[in-house]
Amino acid sequence: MKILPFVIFLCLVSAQRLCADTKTFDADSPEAHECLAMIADYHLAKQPPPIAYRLASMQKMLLEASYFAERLELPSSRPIEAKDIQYPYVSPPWYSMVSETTRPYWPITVFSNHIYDTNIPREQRARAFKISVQGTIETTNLLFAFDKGRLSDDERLSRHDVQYYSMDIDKLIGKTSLINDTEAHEMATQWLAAVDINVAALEKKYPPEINRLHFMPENSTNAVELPIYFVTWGWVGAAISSEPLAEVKILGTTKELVELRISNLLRFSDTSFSKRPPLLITNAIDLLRLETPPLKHLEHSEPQSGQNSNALQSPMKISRP
Amino acid sequence: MWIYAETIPNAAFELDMYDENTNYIGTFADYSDANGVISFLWGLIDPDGSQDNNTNFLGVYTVDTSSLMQVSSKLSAQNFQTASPAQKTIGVKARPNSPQPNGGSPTATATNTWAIEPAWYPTPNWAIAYSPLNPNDSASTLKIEQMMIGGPGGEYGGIVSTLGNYGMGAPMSPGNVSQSSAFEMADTNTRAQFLSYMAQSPYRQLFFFGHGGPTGFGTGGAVISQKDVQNDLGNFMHTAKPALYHPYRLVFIDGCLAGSGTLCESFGIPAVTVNTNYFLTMSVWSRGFLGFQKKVSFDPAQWTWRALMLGGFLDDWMGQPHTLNYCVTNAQAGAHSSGFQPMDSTAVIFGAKDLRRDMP
Repeated sequence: MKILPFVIFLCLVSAQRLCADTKTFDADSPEAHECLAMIADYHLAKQPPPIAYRLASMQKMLLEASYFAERLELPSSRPIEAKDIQYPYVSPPWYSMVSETTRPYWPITVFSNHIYDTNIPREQRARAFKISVQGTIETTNLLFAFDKGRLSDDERLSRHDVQYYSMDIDKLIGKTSLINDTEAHEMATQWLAAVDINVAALEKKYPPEINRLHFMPENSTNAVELPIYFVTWGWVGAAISSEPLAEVKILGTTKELVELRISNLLRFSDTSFSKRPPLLITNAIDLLRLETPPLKHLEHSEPQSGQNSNALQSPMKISRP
Repeated sequence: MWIYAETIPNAAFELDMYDENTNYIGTFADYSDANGVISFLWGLIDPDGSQDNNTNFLGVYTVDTSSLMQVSSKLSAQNFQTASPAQKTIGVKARPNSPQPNGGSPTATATNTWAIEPAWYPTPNWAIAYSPLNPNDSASTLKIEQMMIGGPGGEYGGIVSTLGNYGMGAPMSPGNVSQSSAFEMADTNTRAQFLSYMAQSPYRQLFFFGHGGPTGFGTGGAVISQKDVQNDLGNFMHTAKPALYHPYRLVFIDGCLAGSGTLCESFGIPAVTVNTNYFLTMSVWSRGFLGFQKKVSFDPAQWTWRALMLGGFLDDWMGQPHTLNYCVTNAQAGAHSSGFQPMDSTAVIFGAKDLRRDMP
């Protein structure tokens, strides 16, 4: 008979949890005010995030980008180092917080929907936030984008902000592809598997589609098929109103990977296809507290003998790190 | 070259093409679609198969109006084009006494010319402004300014602090300073100033918050009309000499009804929803216009959430190479603002829905 109270307790816990999961708050509620206060207090949405936070984020992005570069045999130095980065961008932590995927997008924490409950010390709640890495690093020929802690886009560039071959499409006219649709699909799945995507599970839920780029040359009235392959999964909805869950773009003339994208759009909240662990900034709150130091300029001034003779002088050794 | 015209539905038409010296080149003959739209591409190939090197063309339409008898009087909603226009080949017809479509029926004539779009590059510069919703309500205007800046110190994202040199580092039009100020267009002087910024060649992206309509945006005494934009930017899509001298890459009019007309066309963005391939086939930069098809509201008390929504939208657009549609979907879900102040559900994208900042 001792089991009965335990069962009842379990039911109560379950009911409470259900209520907790569905609880929402309105824009004028104390929770909403507390949320905004935390955003301002910890500079969660402010540009730019403090340098310490940006460096920690970039360090993690570099490691993951190097892993992808290694597995995909990308044309870059490996590992990719800080000196290779031409254009870094780190999103403010508010936009990269790990949260639920339905409104009001409660941050996923041990406090559940009490995360904005002022009865719990603010600092304690802030430290419970799970803040992921989000932003981009761009080398001279590669761009890696991170969305909610995952590498979401790995793209070859011909120059800053311009995808490989996107400005030279006409150069591909009349060029023979070294691969066909089947081989394009095979290469794409191999690349996805190389970066720990569960391809079997992905294809079971989202059958692949293979397309080639069609382009109308300037002096022609007929579109031609170019050796650029798009292998996509999860292209749902109307043809132009959505984007695929995953996409691999291949240059057929050289069999090179042009782009590998894995969407994190809300409707694709299921990230179970990727076995890569999400990148989190575990000490984000501490890093956000570290103000970016002010910029100083070295000035040149002649030492003046005889002045300040009472001041203590001691040589200071400065070593290059 | 993209040839686009609107006439009566299901009408037989002939389009005689002339070069810039008014020499006859050839004729297209076909029917307009059920909405009266004539839209197709021409590869600048003359009937003899040679490339046409003219820059400007004159087109003379002859439309068979007999089908007017069959046209219902009801107005139908615009059917947004979802695919690239058909490609046509120009043919030569016997002149001058060629048979009219459906021979002998009444005809109407219109003229049209086209110019090839001069080469340009989508620079990262943004023209940014807001207008008071109610000039007599300074408290509300202050909240709008705060929303634009992202609040004191840019703590809540916003437009200016997200885009500016503390954020994405995008050059912004004068009067917009990260964490400090946003340009207010509130009178004839500031209207003229903003219009002049818009027309400067580096500016290829625009954000405006304030009153909007199908044919303009601004506030009482400071309205920029579709015609103003068209004339000052030199984008003429439906005039006798269509030419796009200053097309924009991305335009976001955050005001009522800006997506309910053809305002986008004054920025060189066609009022159809297509994808980037549509522009690729014409060898021009893809472009997109974001506006709303209905009236939208602004709650001054909720400016912080709206600033977060807009900051998140720009973080998606500029911070990552996401498609415009992705950014809009996230903003409409309120994904960056705890579900509050989401982007209005009537948001419409004209031009390329899959526009990305790193793709042509």
